Amino acid sequence: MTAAGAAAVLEVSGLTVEFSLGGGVARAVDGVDLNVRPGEIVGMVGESGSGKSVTMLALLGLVPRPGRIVAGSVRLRGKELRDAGRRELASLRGRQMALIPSDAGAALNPVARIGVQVGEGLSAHLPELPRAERRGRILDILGRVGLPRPADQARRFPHELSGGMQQRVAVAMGVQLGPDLLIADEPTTALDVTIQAQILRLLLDVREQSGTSILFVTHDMTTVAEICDRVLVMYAGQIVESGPVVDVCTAPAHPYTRALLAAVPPLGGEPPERLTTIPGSPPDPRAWPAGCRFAERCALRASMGNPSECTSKAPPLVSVADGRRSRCHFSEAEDA
Amino acid sequence: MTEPLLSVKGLVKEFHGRGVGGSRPVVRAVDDVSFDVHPGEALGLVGESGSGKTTIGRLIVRLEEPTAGRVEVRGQDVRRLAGRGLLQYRRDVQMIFQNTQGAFNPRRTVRSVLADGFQIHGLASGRELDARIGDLMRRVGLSPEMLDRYPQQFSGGQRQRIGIARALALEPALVVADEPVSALDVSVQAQVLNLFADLRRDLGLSMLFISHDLRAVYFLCERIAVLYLGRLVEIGPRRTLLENPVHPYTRALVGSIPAFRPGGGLTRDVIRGEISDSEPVPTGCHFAPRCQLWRELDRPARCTQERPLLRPVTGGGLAACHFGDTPPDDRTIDADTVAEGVAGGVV
Amino acid sequence: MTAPAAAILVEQPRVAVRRRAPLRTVVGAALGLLVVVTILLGPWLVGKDPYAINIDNRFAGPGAAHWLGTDELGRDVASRIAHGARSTALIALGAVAIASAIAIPLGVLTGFLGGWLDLVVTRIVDLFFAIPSLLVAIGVVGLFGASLTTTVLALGLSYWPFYTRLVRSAVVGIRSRPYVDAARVLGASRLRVIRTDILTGLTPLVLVQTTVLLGFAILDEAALGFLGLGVQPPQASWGSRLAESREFMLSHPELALVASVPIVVAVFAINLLSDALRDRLDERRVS
Repeated sequence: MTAAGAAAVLEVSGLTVEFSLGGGVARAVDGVDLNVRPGEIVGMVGESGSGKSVTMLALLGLVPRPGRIVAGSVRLRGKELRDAGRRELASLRGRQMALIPSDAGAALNPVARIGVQVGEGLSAHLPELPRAERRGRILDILGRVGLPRPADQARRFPHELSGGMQQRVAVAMGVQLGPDLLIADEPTTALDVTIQAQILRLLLDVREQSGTSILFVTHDMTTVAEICDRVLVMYAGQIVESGPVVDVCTAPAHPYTRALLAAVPPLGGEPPERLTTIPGSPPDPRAWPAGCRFAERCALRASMGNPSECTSKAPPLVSVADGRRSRCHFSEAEDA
Repeated sequence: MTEPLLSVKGLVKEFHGRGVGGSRPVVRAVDDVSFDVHPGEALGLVGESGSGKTTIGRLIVRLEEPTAGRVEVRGQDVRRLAGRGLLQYRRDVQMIFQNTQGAFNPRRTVRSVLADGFQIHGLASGRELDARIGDLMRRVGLSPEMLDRYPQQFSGGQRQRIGIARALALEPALVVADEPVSALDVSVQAQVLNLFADLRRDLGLSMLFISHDLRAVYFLCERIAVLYLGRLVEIGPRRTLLENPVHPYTRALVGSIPAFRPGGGLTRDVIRGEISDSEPVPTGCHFAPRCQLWRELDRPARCTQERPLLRPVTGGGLAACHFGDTPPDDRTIDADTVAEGVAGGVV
Repeated sequence: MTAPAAAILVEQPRVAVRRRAPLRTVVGAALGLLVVVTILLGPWLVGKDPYAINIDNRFAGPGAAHWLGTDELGRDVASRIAHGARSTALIALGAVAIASAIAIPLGVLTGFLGGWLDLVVTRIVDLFFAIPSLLVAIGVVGLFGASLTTTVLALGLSYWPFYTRLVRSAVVGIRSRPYVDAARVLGASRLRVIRTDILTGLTPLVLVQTTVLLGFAILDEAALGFLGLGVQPPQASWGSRLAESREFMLSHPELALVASVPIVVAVFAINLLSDALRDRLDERRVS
């Protein structure tokens, strides 16, 4: 789907974000490398506290205090964002990269009409645009994201729209300036299941029509399997596995990925008596374990008789197959 | 067949919307819903937001009073209960709430929260109270040492366990669980679902499990009821409902769940329109305007003029569709692929 | 659009955010301590009779004999302020007590029970809102005559409507929380729900409002005093001190200045502390 070797739209290396809290320093994101190629949809999967949300905010230059990026680089089309000033960053957001929030209802301004809000990006980035043309563009984008009767909808307020329609408006605001990269933050989580498919379809259409790259941040492996080309699995501030979505989902190399996939309740057939779970809970971000951060909860380690390597040596993210990496001393891509 | 533990009969709940002057539109959140839950059984109540599933749960535990219809527990009309009778009912039927910010009073320790049930019903005090609260904590997989912490000091999964413990204190026969796992991470969700399965097995607990998540419901509940805009459109054994759904809405709902089939692309059915912007059709079938079958059958007038009633369908369930149970030839929603895709994906 | 830091880290349990006390709290506490010391030990420290008139020594400047000089009747200003602090504190605390005694029960009952009681009380509160609170106070003074007791009553009665409304809306917010539903499902009586869940939820609001009202009461006592409707001479209070100095505003402005300093300090301290208190309580709720 993507031209191999094409210059990446987004290149992140060694991204590290720390929060200094009274009791110490929490390294929420610890040396994350990732890249997104033109027209590619990359899934970033992780549970609460995995660091996926903070990584996303760091890409947008929106790490909230008391957090800060302490190391690494974030390049958008080759431009280092960490060097960019506040204004420059603001102008990049929207024009070159845009965010689609998880809860559009909360992200939209409740007292401004839809048309006005969608037009804000245009006025900010293209102030010279004549009124009539601006209006035309607003209606055009609203129509493209599937809002019926755009002219009517533009006059409405957010609360007059359903959750699905609000999410469409959020997508419209994200794509209207034709950004190279869309960062979609759990864009379907707050929606009913019958509406989710509509929004996912819309994202696929956006990619198809404009060649936009999408970083799809989610906790849901099943959605990733549906629309992503590649997937990054995060755990305890690090990427623990990455690779083409089909390979990772059918033959996960890292025990955490395997456990995450197994925890999804099966649908159809006779249901199991118990679901496979991951015992325990993730480690404290203020004191990451010295060895593998998943070791305490790892089924593979337990089945191997708890080798000392797991707790004494931090496993690096190593290549396990073509285009696949895993952060485990004993990872092997299982045969599907 | 045993006598049902819970019996909901013709339940109706209307809310008055906001309007100017005399024009206060009436919203029928629950519209003539009937079903039973048998002892030891778990019934899943699924539907999208606005389907009325939460209201039904609240009506059963008497957080709301019905506009019409009845809730019966062990054959007794719940609405007539007051005083001691109502207190006794509270011991029989408990509720587990969604794990949201407001599920616990942030200023009370877990110990104080869990003591509520025992104190209200005068079941235990002093040392015995401490012992029973400790047992409750262990029962839901938490350490009694955590009792003096505040709810916000726990993770989401632990908090949901405390919510379960709160409901179990009175040793109820029936638990109404309203979206108890939807706010949780996948791996934590699996832990909590296992806990529910254990409790059902060990305590013989009956459950009304309200959720929009068909996967969770399918794992836990023997029977599933599907709601659409306040009406029950289909109810039946889980496998029948999932593999051979009769009502077009159930079919659409099942079809819209991602079949975990990596590389398969976006194969979910995209259902037209949305529940929230489709006008109910009070005289006919609410789902008609969005219904695939209705369009295929060239929009029969019966669907918009006559309300379809629940009737027995193949597979042992009930469905409320005038045309749903015709031979399943070309209209099957390839349940095979759903089942196969899912089974294949989950190791 | 961005999730606050707290929200992201909260998902990790056990991470508590703790910061050093900000400067604001330190300054507020220091000034507050000064006010409390003045109230408790002031008269003893100054050691002068606040009522001793010495016409020969009017308008004396500050010095060793009279730390803050003397007033128009030759009375010791420092002593009058120290003794006046007691009256003012009494008035402020009394007024807040009266307002709370009406507002908290009424707000809890109307907010929790709703129905006709809520409707009636809300209308009465609305009615009071149409009248400036100082006017209510003036009305009470007009009815009962000016004195310390009337001032307490007047201020207390002028604060209850807005305080009731505040309590009521907070209770309405708490009442719809799932944990209140959970208590009801467990079979908790209304009284028990009020005690265990409504009142605990109300505590922060009441704490913060008490401090805010104390500040208001000190200012309003001064305003009533300034209008000659507060504590009557020769009794000392911060308000009456201000009233007495009013006549000599042009010839001896330093008297008015000295009279207003304690009011400013006390109200400033209370506001700083109440802000700190509110932040502290908010923080606890969030984390």
